[in-house]
Amino acid sequence: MRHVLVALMQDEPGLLARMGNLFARRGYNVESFTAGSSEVPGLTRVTIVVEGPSTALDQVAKQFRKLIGVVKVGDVTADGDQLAHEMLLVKVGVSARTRQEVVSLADLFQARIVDVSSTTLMLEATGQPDKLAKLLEVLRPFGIKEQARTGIVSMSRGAKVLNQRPGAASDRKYLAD
Amino acid sequence: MIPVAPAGNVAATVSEPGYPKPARGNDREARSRMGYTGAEALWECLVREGVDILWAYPGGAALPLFDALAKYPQIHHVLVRHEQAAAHAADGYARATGKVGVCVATSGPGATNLVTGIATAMMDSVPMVAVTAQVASSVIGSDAFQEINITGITLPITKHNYLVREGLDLVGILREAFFLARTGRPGPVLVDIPKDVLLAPCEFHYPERVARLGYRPVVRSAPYQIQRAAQVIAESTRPVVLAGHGVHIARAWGELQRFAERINAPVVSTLLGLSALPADHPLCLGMAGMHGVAWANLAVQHADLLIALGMRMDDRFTGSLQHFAPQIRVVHVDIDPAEIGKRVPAFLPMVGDVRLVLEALQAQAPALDHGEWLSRIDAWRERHPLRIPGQGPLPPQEVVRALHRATSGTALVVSDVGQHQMWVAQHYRFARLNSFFTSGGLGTMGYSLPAAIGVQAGHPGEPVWVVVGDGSFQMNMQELATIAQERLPVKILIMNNGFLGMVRQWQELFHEARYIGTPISGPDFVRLASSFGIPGRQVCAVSDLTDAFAEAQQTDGPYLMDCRVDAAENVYPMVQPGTSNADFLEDPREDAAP
Repeated sequence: MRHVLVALMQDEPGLLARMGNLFARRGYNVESFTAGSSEVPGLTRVTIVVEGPSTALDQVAKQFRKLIGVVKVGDVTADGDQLAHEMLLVKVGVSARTRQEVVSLADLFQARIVDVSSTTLMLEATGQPDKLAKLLEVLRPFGIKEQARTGIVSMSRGAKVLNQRPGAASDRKYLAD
Repeated sequence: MIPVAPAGNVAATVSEPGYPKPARGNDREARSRMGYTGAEALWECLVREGVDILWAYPGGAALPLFDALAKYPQIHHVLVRHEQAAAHAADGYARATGKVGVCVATSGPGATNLVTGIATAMMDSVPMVAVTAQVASSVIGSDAFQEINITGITLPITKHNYLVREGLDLVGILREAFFLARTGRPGPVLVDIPKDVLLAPCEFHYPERVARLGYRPVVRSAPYQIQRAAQVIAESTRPVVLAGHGVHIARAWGELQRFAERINAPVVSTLLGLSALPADHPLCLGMAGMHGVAWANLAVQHADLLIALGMRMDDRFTGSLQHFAPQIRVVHVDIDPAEIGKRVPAFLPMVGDVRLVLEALQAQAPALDHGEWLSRIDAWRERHPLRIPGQGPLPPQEVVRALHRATSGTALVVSDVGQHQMWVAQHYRFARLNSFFTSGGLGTMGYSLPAAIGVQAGHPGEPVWVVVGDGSFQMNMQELATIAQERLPVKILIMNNGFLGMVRQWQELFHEARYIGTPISGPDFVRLASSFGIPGRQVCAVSDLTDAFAEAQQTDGPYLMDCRVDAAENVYPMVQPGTSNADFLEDPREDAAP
């Protein structure tokens, strides 16, 4: 199953390698991974999308929490309130005949034209992954020369924030049913 | 590089029970000054951490470090003969004393030789700081002579590790390394220091407190959890207390005994939990698991409540999970939340320090009487006693029993890995608390001889016995030189059967007795020892044992006994992989006697 984890970690060398190691060891395939600065100076926020067995994910999340320098880990897979957006750059082959058609498709998807050459157009789009997938689908017939996606960044809607209780562990989580 | 808690995040202070009162180093004038090189700053840190002994091996990149050591006579440096032994000795010292063990190696091969020892400490949660020298910062990444990415290699086998990139960071990193090694669930921490950092002037300011954002081990269970546990205990009619290594790490021996007595519950232990309760205590059942005693396994399998203390439900304890104690409720106490529910679902998870949890539990738990349950266990004990073969000149089990008699069960026993390890676990009745040291999780052959160097250093003048197979002994027998050089009175008992016995046993039982790769020859161990100036003798019959132990104990320094035990002996009882712990194999021979 596909899982989404969001984490805050200290910005220091080696920590990402430690994290990657945890997932690889337990047979998780990292589908996407984004890292960037958070609202707290010195803390990096990462969003990880992994594909792997659900039974083991709880264990991976616990091991992840244990890494020194990791401040907070949230498993947001089942959280309907999560906004998950990513960005796409795509270079589409165009001719004088098809250029206008691609431009209007871009418009429909609220994608921006960020580069133009005699034979290509480059589009930039952001949004939920399935919206970007749709855009790619309609562009495919024109010939996609190159594409780059960032992978999602994720945040909860409403007043809830990830960093409310840094690093706190709760017993209740580990109850058997 | 010690991270400062950013605004809005309060890093909680973590209590550090083992932290010594800061000792004064050689710096008499000021707390903060520039007068040290990186190498001197390292030793200053170690002095402040209360380190007075370490195990090390020098080399090119480590030269500045050793050079500066001359100024620190308060630190005793033991030159081992292989870096693996340095790590095991630091590990043995840490287990025996509860202090952080320290080992030091040079870059490249020196560092990689530590790896097995670090992994051993990681698997058994042993507090250790490993310091490695690294090639100069300017050539890191260029495959320089004796350069290796040791932080990369040890990434999955350390609690944390550091490459010190600037002299400015050195002192803070070392302070944090000791802090992490000893707090929470202990473990090995590696600090890799480039040669130029060791040589450069270094600002010295030793922080008294460490606050690491996000690092906050939970040591006390919530009061509602304690109440709930007390209630679960009161509801149980067949409770079993299970002591793991965490009881030793938390130094919770007294609390364990008082708690078990209060609720009148039998205590079984994991391999590393042995000696958490004296073996002759009426509630002590001994070890459960693959080679556990029958009555302990039957007690766990039939229990309705298991109070697991500081253990991780290792497969060697549980056997097949599918068959593991079907009617049981598990109250799982561990300081590491990741261990709770990992293999066996916890009915009641309790994250916390075993000692603090037991203290709180004991105050709340009702005084109970489980006489009926205990007599049921006694009946199992009578029906399935440990057996010793009646024939054969020197049964290995008899050797362990003789060791027990000779030492009244009060020796510090360091065992290696294999059949002899299990015989020690079964037949040596530990009378002394925290007196058994062995590689449990990793099962590292070659552990015992170097680990005993550390155990003896932690308890000078006290009887330390190494019990080791002829295979395991040959993995690190070079350490006889270290033992001789340090004049350590370690007594070595080799269970010599000319085989890698445990593997041979599995070949006999599961591979139709095809003994491939398991017959092993060796030197004349007595003559080998004598070439190091260590006296010893060969023992070939039960009738020689009393004399041999007397001679060993009368010898001031080290002593080696080469016991020629019966090669055909297997360890029983044995739970076959994939089956229930209640379906153990017993010694099939008729003449075997309790």
